[in-house]
Amino acid sequence: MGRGLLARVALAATLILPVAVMAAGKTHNIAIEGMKFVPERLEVQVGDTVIWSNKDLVPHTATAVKASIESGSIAPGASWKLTVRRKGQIDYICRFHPVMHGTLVVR
Amino acid sequence: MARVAAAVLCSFAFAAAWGQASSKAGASGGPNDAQIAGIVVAANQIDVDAGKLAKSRTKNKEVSAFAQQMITDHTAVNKQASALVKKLKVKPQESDTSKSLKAGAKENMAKLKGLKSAEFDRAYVEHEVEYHQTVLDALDKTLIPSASNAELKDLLTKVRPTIAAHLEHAKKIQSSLKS
Repeated sequence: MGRGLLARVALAATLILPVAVMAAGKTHNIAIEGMKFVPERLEVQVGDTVIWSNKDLVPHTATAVKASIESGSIAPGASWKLTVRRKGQIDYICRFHPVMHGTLVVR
Repeated sequence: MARVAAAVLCSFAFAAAWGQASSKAGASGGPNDAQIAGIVVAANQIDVDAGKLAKSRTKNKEVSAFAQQMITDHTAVNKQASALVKKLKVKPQESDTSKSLKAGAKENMAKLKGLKSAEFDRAYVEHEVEYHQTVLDALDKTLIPSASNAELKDLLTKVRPTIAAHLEHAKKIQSSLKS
């Protein structure tokens, strides 16, 4: 019974997984480093996921008030991810350090 | 007028403090790593203390947010510095520079405590601009070049953009307070 179930699960996985991966979109990384978003400008597609990783010594945020994006405090060494759902240009800042700017272009 | 005089005096005190460090650099290769650690810890703690005072005094939202940021960031930097110092088994050492920094900070705090509302905000932010400029110069001219341990040098290099961003932020608030 164990083997039969396993085989069925494996078959289901091979059928479903590629679809799930495609639907999830691509994953993009933005480093927060040296008080900068790197890269500062990034183009992504609707459905893609963006991960902000804080490599600095101090906490940061990714905040775009107009687009209702607010990561909250991202501690040093921590990261935050967002799956983009709408097309358009998102200009964001670090709420703690308003001199830090980034742009996400969602196509 | 008095404020300008105080500011000038203050910059002199800082210049003198860092001057000692750089003159030592000429004589004996600059402050050693233990002294650099002592300077880093003192410099961060000073700005945390000033931020706490500003947070309790100011009614200006922008100044309050900036003060909170100074508390958060300089506490975070000191946490990392302390962790590194522990790892390297270096005991932060007092030096003329760290002593002068502390004396200058005491003077600044005393001056700020005598001020209220808009006058306080302007004096606090003005001092933050000068302080971060001084620290930035010290990092470039004395601390980073003198650090002998690679990890300490790395940490100082990583701290630099934070100080530069604070300076830019403080300058922005300074000009908004003028208008």
